[in-house]
Amino acid sequence: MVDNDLIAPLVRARLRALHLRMRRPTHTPGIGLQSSRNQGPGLEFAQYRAYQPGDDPRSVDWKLYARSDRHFVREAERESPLSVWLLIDCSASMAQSDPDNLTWTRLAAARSVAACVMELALAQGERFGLVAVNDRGIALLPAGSGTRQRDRCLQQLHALRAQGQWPDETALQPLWQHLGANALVLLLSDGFDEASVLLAERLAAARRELRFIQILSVGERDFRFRGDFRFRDPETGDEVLGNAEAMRVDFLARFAQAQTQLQKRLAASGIDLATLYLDQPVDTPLQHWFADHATAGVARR
Amino acid sequence: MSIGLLFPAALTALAALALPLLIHLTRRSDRQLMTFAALRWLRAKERARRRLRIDEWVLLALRLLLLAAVVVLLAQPVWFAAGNAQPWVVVVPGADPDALADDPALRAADWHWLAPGFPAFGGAAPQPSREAASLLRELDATLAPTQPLTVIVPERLSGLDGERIVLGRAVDWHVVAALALPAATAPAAMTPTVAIRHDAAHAAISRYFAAAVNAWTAGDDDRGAEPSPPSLAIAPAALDVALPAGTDWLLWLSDEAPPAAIASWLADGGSVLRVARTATADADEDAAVEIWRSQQTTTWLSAQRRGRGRMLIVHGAPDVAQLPEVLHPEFALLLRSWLVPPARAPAQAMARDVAPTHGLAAWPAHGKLLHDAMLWLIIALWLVERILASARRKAARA
Repeated sequence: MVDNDLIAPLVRARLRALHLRMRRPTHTPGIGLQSSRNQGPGLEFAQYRAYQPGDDPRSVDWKLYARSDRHFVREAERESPLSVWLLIDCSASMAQSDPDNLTWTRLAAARSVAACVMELALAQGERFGLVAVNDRGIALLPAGSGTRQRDRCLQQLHALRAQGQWPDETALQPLWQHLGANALVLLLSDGFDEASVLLAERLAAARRELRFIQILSVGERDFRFRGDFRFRDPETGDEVLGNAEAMRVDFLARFAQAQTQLQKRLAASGIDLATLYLDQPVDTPLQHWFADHATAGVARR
Repeated sequence: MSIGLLFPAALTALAALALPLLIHLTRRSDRQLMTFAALRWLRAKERARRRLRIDEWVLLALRLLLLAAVVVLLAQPVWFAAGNAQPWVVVVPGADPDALADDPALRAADWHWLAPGFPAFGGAAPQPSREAASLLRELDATLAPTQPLTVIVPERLSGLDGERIVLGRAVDWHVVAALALPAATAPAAMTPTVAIRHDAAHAAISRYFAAAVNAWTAGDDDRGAEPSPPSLAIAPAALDVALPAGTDWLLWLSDEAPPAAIASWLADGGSVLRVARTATADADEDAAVEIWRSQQTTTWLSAQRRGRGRMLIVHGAPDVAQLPEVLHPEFALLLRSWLVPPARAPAQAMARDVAPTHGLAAWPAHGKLLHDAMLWLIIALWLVERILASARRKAARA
């Protein structure tokens, strides 16, 4: 399936030179190019976990159900390839776009990036999963591999809508059951929600390899608006009135400062931050990290 | 030259000027809405937008001006011409203005006839007005107080009334020779010629009337200064006897209406005293005025105009029982007082004796209403406002 909506042909061509990889190679031998300690269907029993909708009924331990009257899924440690997780922020701020290209929203860019990553994972035979979060609920597609998994993920991507806010912590609980240790997690967000940064820090602290792709609009980078505006926060509904030219210098200074702080904070947690502006090709952060000649995020440690 | 307001209270509507000001100050609709998630780092700041402000001020000023113009229109502005000193000359018809036509002081003046409407002098002379004094007062009130007025009057001025002519300005009163003296009316005869006509029913009472009429000149006979004229021997005659020429008064003692010949004689200036048994003797009853009422019976006498003549009607049965006054010795005088027409105020005088005096306060100046001018101004302002407003909108859209 060729999805030109999400991946432009030029980008698809450039993807060939990319390879997903972890900063720290794991030493578990596996089937895929990379090995990891992800749980999933396999040979060697690893753990029980609570049943969740979408789990294969065959994986339910029915004997345990007979004993405990609860559904448990039997997970086995298997020789699995690298599992890549795409964690997409679906709060309302992701619906923002630039005035000269209203359809190219942050979420659209995030979809494209996710599609690219899935193509890469598919080509390498890695497992990949998709999580989209906002306070209306969490859309989670368990990790899998193969083209059917890719298509399921693409379908899920198309169904995503940017609305609401970042969810609170309890709603994110299923994440911890699915995102196994040593998973490669790509967080696609604008990074404006303090909670999203916190989650990234906690995931990184729990031995997940986190890469933060911050998607920013051109307006946030350049602030080249002219005239009087009513700026409205899409999530809180707050408004700021003012003249764009007059606000520009102050905003750029404060925003750059915030960006620097975010970068420092993420770096302290061992999280790689790459910023994708909406006027850039969507594979820019991937080229930065995963190009064959790239050194970013690999040679640092 | 000045501008006044007939209805200054309308200026309170100037409070409406606050409306566009408030709208202008509270208007926020020109701000574009922009979704901006990085609001946290955005601080509200307004720029001094001088050029844009001026653009809006022009429009605002226009709208304020438009409202003010409407308010002023409501206040009914009037325009008083600056000291109109154009002299006026009015010529009373009948006067001969040739003597003054060459007067250099009057040559530049506006010449008019003293006639209703004040037509320009020069055409055919209008009929001499019967209301010369009234016209003079009207003219005085119409002209601006600063306009000198010259009146050219014939020696003998007619059309006066009982009031002296008092005007609001000093008038140049020129008495000139009359063009043609109006034919002098013959002085009324001292003793009017009286005719009595009666029918059979009123034969008895007619003798009392005849006696009373004859009594008017009885004294003359006694004095013997002149032989009594034969017409004085008043004798009642039947209804169908024609009136003698020169009859002044007619006593028509019959319930029948007078024939057409007598009606036309009456309209020509005669006077008729007739009897009417019923109250609704005539269609012209409204104009009738009661001039006498008997103190003993219900009989009364009314008078009314009929053409130029005068009709007296005795309401009630004219017999001795109903009209006992015929027996009184002073009935002759009473009858004469009925028939003599009421005296009129003198309408004619020598012009030099009735020169107008200056005694009234000047009439307030006559202003010209400025409604039309204000309306055009409002329309023009509105058009300019529309053009400016739509031009701004177009520019904003482009």
